[in-house]
Amino acid sequence: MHTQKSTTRKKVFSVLLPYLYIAPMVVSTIVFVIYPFFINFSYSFVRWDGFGKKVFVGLQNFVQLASDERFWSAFQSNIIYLFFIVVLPIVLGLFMASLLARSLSKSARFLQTIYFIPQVVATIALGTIFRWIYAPRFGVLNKLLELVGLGRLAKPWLGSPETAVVAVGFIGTWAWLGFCIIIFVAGIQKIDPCLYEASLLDGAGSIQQFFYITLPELRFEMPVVLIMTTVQCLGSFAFAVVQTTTNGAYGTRPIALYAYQLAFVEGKVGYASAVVVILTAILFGVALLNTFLGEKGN
Amino acid sequence: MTNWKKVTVKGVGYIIALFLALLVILPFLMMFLGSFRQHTDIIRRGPLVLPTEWNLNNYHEVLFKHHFNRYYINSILITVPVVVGSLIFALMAAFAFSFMNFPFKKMIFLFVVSLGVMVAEVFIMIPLFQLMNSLKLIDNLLAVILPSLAMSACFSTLVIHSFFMGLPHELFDSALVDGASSWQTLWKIYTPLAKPAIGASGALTTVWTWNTYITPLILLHDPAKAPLPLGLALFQGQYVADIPLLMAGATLTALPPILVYLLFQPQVVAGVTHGALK
Repeated sequence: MHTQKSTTRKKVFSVLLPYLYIAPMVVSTIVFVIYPFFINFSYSFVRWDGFGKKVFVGLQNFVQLASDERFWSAFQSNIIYLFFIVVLPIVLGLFMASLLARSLSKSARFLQTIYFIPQVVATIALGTIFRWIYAPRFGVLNKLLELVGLGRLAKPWLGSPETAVVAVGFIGTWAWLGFCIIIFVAGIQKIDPCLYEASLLDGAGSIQQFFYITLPELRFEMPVVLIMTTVQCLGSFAFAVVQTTTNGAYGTRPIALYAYQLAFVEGKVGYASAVVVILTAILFGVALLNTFLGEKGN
Repeated sequence: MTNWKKVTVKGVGYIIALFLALLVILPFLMMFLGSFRQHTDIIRRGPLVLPTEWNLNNYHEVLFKHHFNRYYINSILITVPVVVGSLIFALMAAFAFSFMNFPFKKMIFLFVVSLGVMVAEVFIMIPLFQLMNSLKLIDNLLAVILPSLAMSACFSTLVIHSFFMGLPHELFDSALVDGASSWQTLWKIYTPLAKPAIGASGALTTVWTWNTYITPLILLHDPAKAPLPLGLALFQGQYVADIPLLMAGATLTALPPILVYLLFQPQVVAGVTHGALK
């Protein structure tokens, strides 16, 4: 009797055991990440100041978004950031990596250490440094232009609508190019050198090698780089870098910062949640496009 | 002919690579050198000269007059529990996901770990404020610690799981035959083995947690509770004009993660390149 009871107890324990191991991670993630992620969708259907009563308004927030000039302006700057933070680092990164991976494998390690540094420094600190670099008077960039005789090009880079978005976007290119190079170099170094030798015998030039060997062989690296840069472009990187450099002036405000200001400055929590839903949809759109292109590539 | 071509390509590649490294380093060099100068000196002699004297006056002022000492303590109070806690959570979860079979394993992995890694703080900032407000945790460091811990645990689970999957499965069976409980097996056998994966995910989550900005911005309104990046942003809002003081503040914020990175450099890069790819 006693032994039977203890064996059933043991059995129940051994069935539960795996769940006990994953429980701390799973519970904390569900409560503090997954639940907020999904509940955000339901917020987007209400009018709410965040403290009072929620009023269900259906799709009205989204209808309002369609004619919201501030939203479209934010959308537009995010598209420009997509070019500077996602497209440009990936294209330049591919070019640099294919140039570096084979020729300087040993010294590349030291260079890679440097390339990665912007990744470990708080974006707020990067923004603070670049604010000085772009400063109209006593700024680094204008002084450099003056030194090489291009002083007439000097301008308040962050202080005019023509240059501010590009100046902010370039900070993203600067910060993310090294990351792309490192991932691509690691990917290229895994490619079997025989593939390149065989293609040489077939008379392939280096450009053909790039398109027929290097690019298809990077099919695992490409989605990682694409998703990580896109998340940063839509999320915290653009948010923090804009907040420290221009605080959203001159058409630099990205969608995420607009959502923040709606929710926490203007008290339009429901409407802000609808903006976040759009942001989430864009990210998933890019992720889907990514898997689609990946499958097509294979 | 082809040999010459090879050498030229190599040379050009090297020059471009060095130029790029210089481009990456230059802003940090400006930050560091600028932090030792005086604002009047920058106005008088321009931005591109060395400091005339090397003293720590700016650092002293930023640390003790502008509360960066407080921000430092807050950053440490947030980062240490997040990294230690998330590694413990991740080791346990990765252990179960790697060596045990149980119903809904794949589904839980996909919908908790994979989704948890994908969700960035921007996507949850509004509900997170509501949640922490209802838990009465606004202006409490726990409000930042808890979500950071969960997100870091997801990432580390991914990295440690892929490391465990590369180990021979027999190790687990033989340890159990020896009479060790699974609990002992995890901490006495697998944890020491997983050192490279722990180093990689530990270093990366340290850096990320140290640099986190949006959650503190939303959840910590009391300036006395701000960690370094938020403190630097607050400081910048008040003292936009004083470049050397700002550079001293930026250096203080940037230095600890750079040191952690240089210390764990091989693991960090391996963690990013391999861990993220699996």
